[in-house]
Amino acid sequence: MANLIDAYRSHQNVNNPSPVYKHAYTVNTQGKVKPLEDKGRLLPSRIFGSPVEYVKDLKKDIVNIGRAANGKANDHELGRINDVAMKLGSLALATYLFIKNPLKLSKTMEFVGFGTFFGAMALWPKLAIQAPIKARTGVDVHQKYIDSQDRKKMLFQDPQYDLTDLYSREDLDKMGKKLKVAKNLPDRDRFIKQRAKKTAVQANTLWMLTAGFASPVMSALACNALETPIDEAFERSALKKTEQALKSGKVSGFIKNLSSSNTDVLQKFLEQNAGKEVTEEMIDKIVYELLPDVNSADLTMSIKKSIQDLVRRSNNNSSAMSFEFVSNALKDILPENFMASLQLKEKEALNDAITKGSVSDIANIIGNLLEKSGQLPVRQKAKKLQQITGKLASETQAASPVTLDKISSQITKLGDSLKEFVSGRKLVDDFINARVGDKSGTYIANHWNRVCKKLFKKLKFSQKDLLELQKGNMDIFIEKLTALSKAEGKDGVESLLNELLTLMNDYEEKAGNKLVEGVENNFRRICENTAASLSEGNYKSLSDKIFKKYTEASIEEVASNVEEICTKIGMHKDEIDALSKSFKSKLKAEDIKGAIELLKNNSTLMDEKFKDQIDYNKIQELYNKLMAVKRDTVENTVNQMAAERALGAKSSLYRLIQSIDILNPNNKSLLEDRIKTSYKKIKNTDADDKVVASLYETIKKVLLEATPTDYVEKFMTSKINMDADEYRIISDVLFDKADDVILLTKPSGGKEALKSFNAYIKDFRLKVWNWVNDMTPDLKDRVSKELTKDMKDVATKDVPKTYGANAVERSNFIGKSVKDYMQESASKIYNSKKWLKIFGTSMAVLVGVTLVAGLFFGRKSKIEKELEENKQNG
Amino acid sequence: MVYKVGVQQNSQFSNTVSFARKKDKEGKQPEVYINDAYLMVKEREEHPLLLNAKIQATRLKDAVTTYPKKGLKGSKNANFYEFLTMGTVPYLIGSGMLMAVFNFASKYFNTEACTKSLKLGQKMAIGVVFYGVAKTLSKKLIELPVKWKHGIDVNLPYKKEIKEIPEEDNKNKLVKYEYHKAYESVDFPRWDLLYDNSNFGEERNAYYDKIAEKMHLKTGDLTSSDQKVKPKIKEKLIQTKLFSTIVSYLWAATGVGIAMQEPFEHISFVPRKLKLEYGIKNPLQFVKLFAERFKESCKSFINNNNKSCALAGRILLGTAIGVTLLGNFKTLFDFNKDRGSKNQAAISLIDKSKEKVVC
Repeated sequence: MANLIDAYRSHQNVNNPSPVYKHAYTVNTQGKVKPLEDKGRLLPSRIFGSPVEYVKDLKKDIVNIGRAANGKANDHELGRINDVAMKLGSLALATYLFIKNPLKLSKTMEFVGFGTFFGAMALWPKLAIQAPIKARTGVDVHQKYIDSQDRKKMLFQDPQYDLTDLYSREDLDKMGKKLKVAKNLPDRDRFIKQRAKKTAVQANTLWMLTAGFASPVMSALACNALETPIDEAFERSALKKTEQALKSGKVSGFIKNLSSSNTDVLQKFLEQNAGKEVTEEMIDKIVYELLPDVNSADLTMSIKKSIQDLVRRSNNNSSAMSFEFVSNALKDILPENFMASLQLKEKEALNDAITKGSVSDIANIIGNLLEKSGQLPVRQKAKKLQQITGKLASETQAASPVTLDKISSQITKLGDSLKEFVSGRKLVDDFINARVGDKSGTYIANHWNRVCKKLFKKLKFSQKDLLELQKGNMDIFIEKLTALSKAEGKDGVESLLNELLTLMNDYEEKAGNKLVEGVENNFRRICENTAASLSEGNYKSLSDKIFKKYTEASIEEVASNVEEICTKIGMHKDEIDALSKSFKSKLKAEDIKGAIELLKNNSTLMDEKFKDQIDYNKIQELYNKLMAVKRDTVENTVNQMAAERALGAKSSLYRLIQSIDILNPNNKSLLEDRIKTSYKKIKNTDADDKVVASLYETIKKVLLEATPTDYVEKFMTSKINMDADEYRIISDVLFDKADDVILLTKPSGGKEALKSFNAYIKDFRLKVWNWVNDMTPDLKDRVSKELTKDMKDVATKDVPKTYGANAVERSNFIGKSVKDYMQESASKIYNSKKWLKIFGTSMAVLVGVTLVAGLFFGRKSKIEKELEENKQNG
Repeated sequence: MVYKVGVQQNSQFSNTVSFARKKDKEGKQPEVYINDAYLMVKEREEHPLLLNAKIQATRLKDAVTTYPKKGLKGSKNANFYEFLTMGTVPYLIGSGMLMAVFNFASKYFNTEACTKSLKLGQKMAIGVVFYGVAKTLSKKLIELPVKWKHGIDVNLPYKKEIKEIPEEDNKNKLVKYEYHKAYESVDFPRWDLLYDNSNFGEERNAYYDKIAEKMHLKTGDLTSSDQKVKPKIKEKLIQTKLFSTIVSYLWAATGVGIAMQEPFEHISFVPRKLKLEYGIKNPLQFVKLFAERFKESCKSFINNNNKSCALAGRILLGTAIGVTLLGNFKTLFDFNKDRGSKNQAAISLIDKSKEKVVC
C-alpha cells in the first residue's frame, strides 16, 4: 500500500509542485484502483503434505529465486526462499559428509540424519501440538490458507492480523461445540474466533519453546531406530549382488570403468614418458596402475620383477657392448687378469656372443671358461652365472639406458592379460568382504549383533549387570544362566541354544560353506584364464609363480636337483631320465613319501653304495619349497583367507554355544559324571569331590577365556595352567573320540550346523598336521619356539600334531573368546541402552509436558464466563 | 469486531490505563520518536557492535521471559514480532541439544567407547558453533559491501514503541518496545523514518539525497531524490536479502565441513585435559592451539588424502565463494539504470491496464 501511495504522491508532485504531502491521502482513486474481490480460502488440514504440492511449491520457489536475483520479490517469497536455502545448505552438507564417510552405512546415515531432522522439525508441531489440540478443541492451530494472491500462509501466524472471517459457518459451529461456547451467548461467533486465536497463540508459543528440545532428540532417536534395518538391508543387498556378480562372472559397470580408466591412465603415462629412461619409480607407478585395488605384496613384487626382467631383456641387444666393455664390467667379479689371459679362440667365441648381444650367452661362455680353468667349482657355477648376467645387464643398462617406449607395447600386453584378474579379484574380494569382511555392515558383523541381541535379551541383563560384565566379571553370566534355568526350567537354556543354533544354520547357509565354495569355484577360473593369457604373452614365469595352483616349474626345479645328485654319483643318463620322470610324477601327485621311497628303494637304478649319499633332507626341503610356492599362489592365498575368516567366526560362535551348554546349571550333574568318568579313564582312580570341583573350575575358565583357536589346538592356552593329565581329562570331557565338540544338551535345532562345524574342525586340523609334518626341522623348531613352555610340554607329550600354524596363521584363526565377546557386547548394549534411556526419557517427558500443556489452552475468558453466568441467571 | 472487544475491555480498566513512556536517563540525549519509532542512527554509527549486542540481548531476554509468558496465556497483545523473536529459542536450545546428543551420554560409557563418542561429539559441538558463526558472519560479506557502495544499511535498527491493549492481568505496563529494522520488510520499508532525520542532514530528503549520490543518480536538478531512489533501494534490498540468505547457509555448511576434519579430534575443552595432554596453561595458548587446529582443518578440508573428499570440499568452498561473489556482483552493480527516472517510477508502479490490490 505504501508503494502505491508513494507513487501517487510522485504523480501529484509532477503535476502540481505545490505542497502535496498534506493532500496525499485525498487523492481521488475513483476509477484508477479498486480492491479486488476477496479470494482467500482455507486449505484442508493434513499431517503429511502432498508430494505434488511440494514439487509445485519448490518449482515456484526456484522461479522466485531467479526473480529475487533481479530485485523482484516480496516478503512472503523471501521468507520461503530462506526455507529453501536452509534445506539446500543442509543437503550440501549431507552430500559432503556422505562423500567424506568411508562406510556405506555412515554415508547413508548422513542423508537419513538430514531427512529425519527436517522431518522432526515438521512433524513435532503437527503430532505433539496441532493434532491433540485439534482433537480436543477443534481448532487447527496450524491452519493454512491461500490469500488472494495465491500465496500459502498460516492463518494464525500474526495474531494481530485477523483472518478468522475465513472460517465457514460449519467450522465455527464445530469449534464452538468442542470449545463448549454457550449456544445462547450473544455474538457467539466472536467468542469462538477469540478462543481459536487465543489457542493458536498459546500453541505457537509452546511450539517455539519445545521445538529446540524435540527436533534434535526426535531426529537422533529416529536415526537410532533406522540404523539397524538400513544396515541389514545393505547386508542383504550386498550378499545378493556379490553372489550374482561372481556367479555370472560379469564385471559390473563400476569395475569395468575402474579397469578401463586405469588402462587409460597407464596408456597416458606410457605416452607421456615414452622417451624417458625407465627408472624404479616409473616401474612402481606402472605396477600400481596395472594392479589397481589389488592388495597383494607377492603379486606386486612378481609383476615388478617381471618388468625389471623386461627392461633387462630389452637391453640385451644393445650395441654398447664390446670386449673392453665386458672386461671392465666384470673386473670385480672375475679373477684378476682372467679376460686378458684368454686365448685367441676363446676370445673369438666370446666376441661372437658379445656381437649377438646375448648376456646369457656371454655369461655361459665365461662360466665354462672359468670352470675349465679350475677357477669355478661346479656348485658355485649357477650363482656365478647369475652374478655375471646381473652385472652385465646393469652395466649395459647404465651405458645405454632403456627408454619406456621400448617396453611399452609389452607392458600394454601385460596389462591386457591382467585385466580379467584385476576385475575378477575385485569381485572375489567384494564377495568375501560382504560376508566375512573385517568391517561393520558385513554379514558376519551383523550376525554377531543378532546373536548378541538374542543372547542378552534372553538372559535379561540389567544395566547394573552389564556394567559388571563390561569389567570382565563372568560370574554374572553364570548367574544369569542359573536364573534362566530357574525361571523357565530345562527348556529355558535349551530354547536359547536352539535359537543360537538356528542362527548358526543361517550362517552356514549364507557365509559358511557357500563362501568357500563361491571363492574356490570362481577364482580358479579367473586365475587359470590369467595364467593362460600371461603364458601366451611370454610371461610364463610370472604365470607359473603366481597364478598356477600347481607349478610345473617348481617340480622341474626339484627334479633337476635330484638329477644333479644322480649325475654326481655317476648314474647313466638314461637311468637318470627314467628316475626323474618317475620322481616328477610322484611329486605332481603330492606324494613326497613315495618320491623319497622311490629314490631309496629303486636298486635297479641306483648303486647301493650311493644310496646313503642322497641328501633326503635336501629333497624334503625342495619339496617344502614346492609346497610353499603352491601355498603362495594368489588363488590359494585368497581361498585360505576366506576359509580362515569363515572358520574364525564359526569357532567363536560354537565356543559360545558350547559354553552355554556345558555351564548350564541343569547340566551340572551330567558334567560332573563326565569329569569323573574321564578322570578314571586317565588316572585309573576315582575323583573325589574336591578334584571334580577344581576340574569344573578349570573347564569353566577354558570355555570362557580360551580363544576359539583352541578348538584346533583343543584348549591349550598360556592363560590357564594345567598339567598334561588335566589337559587329557578336560579334552576327554569336551571332545569325543572323533574329536567332535561335545554338547550335553541335545538341542533339536542346528544339528546340521554342528555336523558341518565338526567336519570343518577335522579338515582344518588335518591341514595343519600335514603342513607341520612337511616342515623342515628348522621351521618346526622355530614354530615350537613360539609356543610357551607349558604348551610345549604338553604338545611334545600328547598332541604335537596340532601345533602347526605360525603366529600369523594362528592369529587368523583366532575368533573371540567368550569372555571378550561378552565384555564387548555388554559394553555396546550398555551404551546403547544408556543413551536411549537418557534421550528416550527426556523425549517422553517433553511429549508429556507438551500434551498436558495443551489441555490448558483455549480456556474461557473471564468476560465469557461472566456473560455465560449472566445469561444463565437470566 | 476485534476493536469492539477492545473497547469493551478498555472500559473496565479506563481508570487505571497508563501509556506513560519510559523516562530518558539524565544527561542522555532524548530518544526522538517519529510515528512511535526511534531510528537508532547515531548509536549504530558510534557503537555498532555494542548496539547489536544490546539489541540481541534484550530480544533474547524477552524471548525467554516476557514473550513466552504472554504467549502461553494467549494474550491479545501477542504479535508476529514476538513469535519471530521466540524463534531464537529453538535455535539456541536445538544447538545445545545437538551437542548434548553426542556428548552427554558419553560419560557413562567405558573408556574406549567414551573416547570414540567424545571425538565425534567434540567435532559435532565445534560444528554447531561454526554453523552459527559462519552463518552470521557470512551475511556481512554481502551486506557490508552494499552499505559501502550504496549507503544502504539493511540492518539499520529502530526502536518501536507499542501501546498495548489492557488485559485482565496487565493494567499498567502497557507500553513496550520492540527492535525492528527499517528495511526488515521489502514490501513495507519504513521510508517514513528516513525523512526529516537530523542524523542524515538538515534537508527533508537528506537520506535519499545521500543514497542518490552514492548510486550516481543525483544528476542535474533532482527535486525528489526519494522517488528516484526508493525503487532502487528496494531492488538492492531484495537482492541483498536473497544473497545474504543463500550464502549464509552455504558458509554454514562449509563451517560444519571444516569442523568435521580430523585435526579437531586433537583438542579438548576440558582445562585439566588441556593441561595434561597439550600443556595448555592459559587461554591465550588455547586460542593459539585452536587457531592451529582450525588452519590444519581448513587444509584438510580442501586437501584431504581422500581425493573425492578433497574434491567435494573444494566444490563446497568454491560454491560458497562463487555465490558470494555473484551476490556482490548483483548487489553492487546496477543492471536496470533506466528504471529509476521519476516518470518511469510512477508508470512502472501503476499499470492502468491491470487491476490492483490496495493491501
